[in-house]
Amino acid sequence: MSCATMELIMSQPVIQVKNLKRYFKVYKKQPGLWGSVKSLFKRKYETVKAVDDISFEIKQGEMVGFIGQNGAGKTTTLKVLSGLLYPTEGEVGVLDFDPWDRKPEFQKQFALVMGQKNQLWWDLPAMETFLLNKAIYEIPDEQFAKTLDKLVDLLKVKDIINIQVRKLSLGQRMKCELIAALLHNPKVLFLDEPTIGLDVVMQKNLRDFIKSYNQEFKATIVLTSHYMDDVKELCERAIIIDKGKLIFDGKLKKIIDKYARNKILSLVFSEEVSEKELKKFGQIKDFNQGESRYTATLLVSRKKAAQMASELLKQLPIEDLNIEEPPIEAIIREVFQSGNA
Amino acid sequence: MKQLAFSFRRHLRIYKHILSFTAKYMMAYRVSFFIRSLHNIFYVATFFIVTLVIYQHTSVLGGWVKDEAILLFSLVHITYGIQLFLFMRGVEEFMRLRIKSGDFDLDLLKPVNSQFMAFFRTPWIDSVIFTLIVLILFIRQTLILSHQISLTSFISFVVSYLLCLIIWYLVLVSYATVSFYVTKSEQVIYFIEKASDFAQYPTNIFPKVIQQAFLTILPIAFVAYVPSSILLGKDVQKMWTMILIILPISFIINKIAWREGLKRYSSASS
Repeated sequence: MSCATMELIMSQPVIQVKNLKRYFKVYKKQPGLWGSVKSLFKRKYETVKAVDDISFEIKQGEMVGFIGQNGAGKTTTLKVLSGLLYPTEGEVGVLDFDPWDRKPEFQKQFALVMGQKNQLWWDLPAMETFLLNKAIYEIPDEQFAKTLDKLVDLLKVKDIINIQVRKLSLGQRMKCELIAALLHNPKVLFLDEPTIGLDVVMQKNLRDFIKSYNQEFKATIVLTSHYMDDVKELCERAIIIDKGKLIFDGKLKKIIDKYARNKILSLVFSEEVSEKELKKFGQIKDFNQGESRYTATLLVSRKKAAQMASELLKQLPIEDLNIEEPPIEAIIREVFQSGNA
Repeated sequence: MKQLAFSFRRHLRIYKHILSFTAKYMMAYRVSFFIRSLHNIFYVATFFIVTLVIYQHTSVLGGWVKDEAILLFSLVHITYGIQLFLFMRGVEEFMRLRIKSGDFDLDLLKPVNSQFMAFFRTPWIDSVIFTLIVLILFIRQTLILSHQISLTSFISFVVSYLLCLIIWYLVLVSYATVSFYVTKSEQVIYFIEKASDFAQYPTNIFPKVIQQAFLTILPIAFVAYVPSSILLGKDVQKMWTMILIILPISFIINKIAWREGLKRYSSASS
């Protein structure tokens, strides 16, 4: 395949979402025993807008991070994209299929991994589930052996795939879950909280694996995670959802340009300075004037950061000065907390 | 047709894997396996004794003599054994747990028939022993009554029995779709199981209204009464007419109920 053809394929959207809405009717229970008794005869229902009119496109090979608070609509969106839920309104196309038609040709081309649900048979070794999936996805013997070898090697699980699943640790189980989901080489991979509950080392291992899977198979990956490290390390593009609405869709770094109001100035002084003096330049986040080390951290308006740095250098005994962007998780937290969304 | 045969073979291959897994699992917990088997045998034995006691007081019940009634009884329990082995545990789990917990998601994601994945994923191998016992009883009764069973009626019985099994499956699954609307509905299946106890007696001994209900709304007559009647040459034409009417109706209801249920499925929060 020529480079031009490859580029053309890569530029085609494999996921198209237009004005997607997914509402749920939920029963609103009144508190207490009397509320429960009353609810036997009369119930109040309310409509929850889990996903409320969102649109986006994702191209082949892209890794996109879905960011949002609990209940923002991330998982619901993934479930609609996987064909588990019918949308209330809107158009959705994944690999040119209507997901909820649930055609086997479509289902053989994607996988949904849910960090809190497992498809592995609890009382049997993971290898048994792999064999079942081989039959379900009609994977030829040769391809199965080759893919399994590769995945086992990448995830370093050779010694555990023949041990009963219930005897594996959470991290080991998650690795086996990934193998079970990827044996049929899906072109589109939906990962819903894949690193939830894992320790930092295991999180890093899984991230490395997801990255190499994306590079090797040119797979499109949509990821939701509570851990910003997952999104920062894996995804160039982020989609932020809040209360079912899409509030940002773009390069992760652009979130800083759009939402960060301040920059961080890290200061090291050659001699002691007073807090009062420092307050004139910005909001003090950290102030440490102990023994022989005099440091402080200031939050200053982005527009005035350069000017403030220059003033500080002129007026105070500065030994070292650093201007930094605030951490992305802090910006996103601020976006949700301030209601900017 | 070719595609249907291919799909059937494929699902059979998958089922072979599921059976193999379940067998391995059962062997890992053999005490539980034997206790459940004994429980099933004891359960069947109690009903058998009740049937014998009834016939100590009468020689004919609704036109059915003792040997015919025992044949009916054995066929009922063959059906229960088969349904337990194939799909009953799947139906019960689906109604009690899988919809409520959202685990049904995992069945829906697979590129196979969603009903197959939901209901045939947990075969109950324990039912094999008691099914074999009642099968032996059924063969014994068939031999005793062989003077009134021709080869044609036996072939007719085999075909009708398979169709009745399909009707019973279609009806149970249609009831199971209630779960899509009320989330947790295993009481419905427990009710059907209890009502199915009546299937051990000839349907025609009940009042007309109940007879109609057992042939339509809750068609437990198809569990054994209808095929047994065909085997023993009782109202054969009427029984076949019922099968040919109820089969397409239950098929259509099953399809619509399942399709609409899937639209209502709301999974569970993560």
